[in-house]
Amino acid sequence: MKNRDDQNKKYVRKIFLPHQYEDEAEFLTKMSNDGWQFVMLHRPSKYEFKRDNSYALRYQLDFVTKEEDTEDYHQLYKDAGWQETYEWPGINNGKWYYFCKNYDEAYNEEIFTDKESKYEMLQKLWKHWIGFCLLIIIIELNGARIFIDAIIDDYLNPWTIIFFGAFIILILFIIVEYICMIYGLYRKKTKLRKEIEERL
Amino acid sequence: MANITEFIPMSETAYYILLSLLEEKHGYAIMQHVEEITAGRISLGAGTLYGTLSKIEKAGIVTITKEEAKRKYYMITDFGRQLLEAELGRINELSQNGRRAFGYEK
Repeated sequence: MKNRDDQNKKYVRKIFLPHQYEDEAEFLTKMSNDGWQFVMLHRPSKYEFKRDNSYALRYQLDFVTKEEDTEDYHQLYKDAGWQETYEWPGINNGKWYYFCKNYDEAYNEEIFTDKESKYEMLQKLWKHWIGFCLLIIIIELNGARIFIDAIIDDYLNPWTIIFFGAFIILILFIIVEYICMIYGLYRKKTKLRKEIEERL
Repeated sequence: MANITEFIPMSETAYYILLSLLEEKHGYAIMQHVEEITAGRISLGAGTLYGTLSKIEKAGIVTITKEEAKRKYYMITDFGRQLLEAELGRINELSQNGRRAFGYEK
């Protein structure tokens, strides 16, 4: 997908699941330090960058629900020196905000500075996602069942098997991805919970 | 009203936010104040501050006093003050026992 004519533009395909938001921020920070400034994210997972060596930014991502997405929230980040560069719609009116700051000034700055608040954020993300993920899995399993039935009804026809088989494989991929989402978020959350509980 | 013991011991973050809110302040002023009184040891992240403020506001520990220029101002409630005093008592006990055990004081 690279635009060969334009040396000042670059696209990178990369998938980050919800619990990998810190890795995503790190990726954008690294790109910025390499002189590639984040422009936007094309659905579902293509990052657009423009060439500019003159500055480097440190990125941080935050997830907010609709109730929290107030003027005051944005003002606080602004006061703290974070520039809002991008937003990505989540499900159920949740939103991801991409904040950045000059790298030299903020190279080790985090927006979450204690484990309790980081855990609360993950818990919020969990509550927001879990129902949706389970619903998708149920719908997909139901779809797979329909295709399996179709194959059983017409098992002598190889085209039926190829055609519906392809759909079943696609569905399995989607299910695996959603299971990874649930598992990844659950693991990250429980690990942090354990660290908080086991603290001396 | 919630029970005091439910919130004790509190995190350093919550403790310092409450200390700051003995006087009315907006979010960023809390950050600056905490950084100043801890000589830069604690620098609250915006996410941490925002999350903790909404949590303690819901629990009736602090209250929103006004909204000005897109900033919410907060102040500790009577319940929050009781909570902070109880926490201070606990920290004093920790400190006294520690100093005694090390022989700094008799």
